[in-house]
Amino acid sequence: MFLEYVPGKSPVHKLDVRAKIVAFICLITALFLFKHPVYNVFILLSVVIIALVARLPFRRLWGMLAPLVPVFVMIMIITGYTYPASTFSSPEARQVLFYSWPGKRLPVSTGGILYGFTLLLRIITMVASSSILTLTTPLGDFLQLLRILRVPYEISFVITTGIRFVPTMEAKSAMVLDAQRSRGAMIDTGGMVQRIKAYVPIMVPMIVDSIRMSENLACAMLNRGYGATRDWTTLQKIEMARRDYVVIAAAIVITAIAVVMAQRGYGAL
Amino acid sequence: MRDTKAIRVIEVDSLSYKYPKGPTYSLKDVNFQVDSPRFVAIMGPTGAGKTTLAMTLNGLIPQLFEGDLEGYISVMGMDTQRFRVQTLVSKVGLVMQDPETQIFGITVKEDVAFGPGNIGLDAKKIRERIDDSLRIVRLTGYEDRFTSELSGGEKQRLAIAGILAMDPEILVLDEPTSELDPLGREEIYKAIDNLQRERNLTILAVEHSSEDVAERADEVIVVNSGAVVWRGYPRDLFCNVPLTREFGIRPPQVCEFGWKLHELGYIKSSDVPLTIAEAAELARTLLAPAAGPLKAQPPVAPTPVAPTRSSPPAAVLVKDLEHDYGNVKALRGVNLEIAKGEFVALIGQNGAGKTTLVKHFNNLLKPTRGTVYIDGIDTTGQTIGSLSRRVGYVFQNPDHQIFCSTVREEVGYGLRHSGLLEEEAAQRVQAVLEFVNLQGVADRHPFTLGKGERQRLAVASVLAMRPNILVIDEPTTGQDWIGAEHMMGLVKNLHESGHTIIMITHDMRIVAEYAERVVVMHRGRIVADGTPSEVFSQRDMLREAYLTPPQISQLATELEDLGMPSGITTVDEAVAVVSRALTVGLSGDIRDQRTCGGID
Repeated sequence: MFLEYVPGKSPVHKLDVRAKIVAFICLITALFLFKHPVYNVFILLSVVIIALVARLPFRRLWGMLAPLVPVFVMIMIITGYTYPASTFSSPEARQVLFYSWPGKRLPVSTGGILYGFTLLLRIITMVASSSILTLTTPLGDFLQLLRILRVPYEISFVITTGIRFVPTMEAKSAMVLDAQRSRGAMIDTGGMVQRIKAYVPIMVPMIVDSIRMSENLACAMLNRGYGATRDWTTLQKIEMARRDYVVIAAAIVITAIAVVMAQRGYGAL
Repeated sequence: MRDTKAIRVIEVDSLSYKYPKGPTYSLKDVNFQVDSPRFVAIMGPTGAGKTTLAMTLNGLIPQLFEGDLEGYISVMGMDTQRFRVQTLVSKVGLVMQDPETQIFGITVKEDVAFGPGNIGLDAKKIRERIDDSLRIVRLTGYEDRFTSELSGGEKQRLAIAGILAMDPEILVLDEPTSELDPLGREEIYKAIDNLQRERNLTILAVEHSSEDVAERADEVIVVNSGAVVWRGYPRDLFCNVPLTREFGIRPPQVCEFGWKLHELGYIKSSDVPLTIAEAAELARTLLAPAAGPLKAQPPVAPTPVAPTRSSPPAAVLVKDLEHDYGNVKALRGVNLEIAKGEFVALIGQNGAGKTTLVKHFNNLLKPTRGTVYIDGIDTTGQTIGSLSRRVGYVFQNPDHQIFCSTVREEVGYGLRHSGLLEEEAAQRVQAVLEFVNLQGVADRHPFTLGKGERQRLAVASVLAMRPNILVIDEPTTGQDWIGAEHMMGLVKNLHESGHTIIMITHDMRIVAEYAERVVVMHRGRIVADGTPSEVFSQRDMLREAYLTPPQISQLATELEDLGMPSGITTVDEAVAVVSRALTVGLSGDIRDQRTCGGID
């Protein structure tokens, strides 16, 4: 997902990574305070508004969620059955909607359905909000955060280089695959064991090539002065602006209000 | 050529080096000095120790690669054994051959910032360096592009920018252009020319292309078997053709042309030209009196097209082929017919659609629209496996397919699924090994073989399927002259034994010397199709397709007004035309006797 950073100039893009992470944590906290779906609908709506402000590609978000639809349906069904009426406190949630088996067996409660809905909203909200975070924040900002948290340079270097080499390795494996198939390798046929065996001709050249590449990479790192000083510079320093403090304060206040409301019994089932 | 005072920047004194597990010394008693600012080319055959030498200059040897090092190397007065590589890199920058492993950033800007960031420059300074180095390599405007989306040439220029951002005083380039297409090469050389113009930088470049070296280098150092065997001006090396042959270096075509005229007694050895301009001037002086007879000459007879063109069905028949990668149209309506037994060179820029086209021949790609027939059979519905018996595809890098533990097994791999009896398969493997001359190493591990042998092994493993059509992707890329000649010898043998050859290449000399037919692609279309001499005389089309014809064809164009036929593609043709003109001129025409006598 880090690869998918979409450059932009929206207010969300401009926020500091720290402000975004605080707001993200607050949002997730609020999400788990309320069991009633209506409250979570409001939270999801606010996330949708943020996504609109950030001008995110909704199609891509939908692309990530679409394969999960069957899972969502499963969750609804399972919670409907597994949360019996007795687990809920409010009278309407305790109502039994219907029995799926004659003789008052396998009851489905209103609360169960509603809670299933809440779980669903939580998943969608989490996927959407974490996507907003990664789609609007360049990798460099996360790395700087690691640096502020005193995580060693080596670790952030490994993360970036790893991500940087994903497309390279993809291209190489496509080339190897083409080369093997061109001389009659059967890669996509046969049973499980045969298929695993068929990948040997792909894996061996890939590993050999990786070893060669890693040697070159070591040279190239030194050629670029890697390890010359402990105090390496990054191009952009992340800096907190006024808007970042405002967002952090707002996020904390809203979450605090939500905590109080939840304690008073709002949003319970 | 520049008005700066020369300073000694590199000093190498009795340097010998042996890799930790190396059987012999890779460098033997190397001595040389370089004064700034200079462009020094390092040449020599593969395995001569050029890369090893380059790596000693910034301390990678012996700091990263240990081993036995004797002698003394100093750059900008710093002993490379006493200072860390990370310190030396601010003085001497090393750009290696493979750009892929030299890029660390996800975006172009981040990548250039990597080096300066490592040495702790402040952000403002780093930004200046990014702007400056991207401008020199002509990548301004690419700052926020993803490095993974750059072309090979752009990646190599980015690798150079990343090193320039360290602001070194010496730049060492290890075969910076050997894997690139002509446009990529040209851009690299423009960057190098920019650098020489703008900074007082000493450049050492390991380079196989004598034509590029001849145009730019102030000096050439020839390395062979780990020792410096020759050092001097490019002119003294390239214009002495027997000497270049001795070192395994392919001389520029105009030098070969001049040398042949010298051998025929028309010019003195000191008059052998180094560049196209010089060759044109020489030819003008020689031919001026004979201009009449030259004009009267019939044009060079076009190389006969493969005689078998009539025998149906065609080996390859492509009809209205289109291919889209997502929204990108890679092929926009290609029609092509290749007869059995033809030798076709497919040329064009990277991204022109050459590889996309040939991948349709064995179903690695399926047409978006249009049809491909192989031996008259529609490829739709065929599998790659069944087509592998008709079309063999030899990929550029043999290491992308070698995985077995012996040469014999490797060759036999494709036959495992063919349903052949074991005995029959073994016989076939043996026959193929003999054809490519690898029978002596049949039981060795492939990775103990040299690059040339591994490439022959890759060819053998494709030949085992007995295809009649061979697609060969860039057979000579990244190889020295001897390696390229060996490989082309094998390709020629395959052609003579009846195979239809479809070869993708960027080397126009190879095209002129070996191919019967040239197909030029540009932006997903075929823009020219004919014999080498027909294609190489279409200057405008070639320019539009970003292709440069061989030097000798360029010379022929320069001399068109003298009546030089434009279809000349090889040195021998050019020499023949000139010498014929001169013999006629010298013996027959009385009017020209006087001036001609003055030439000798």
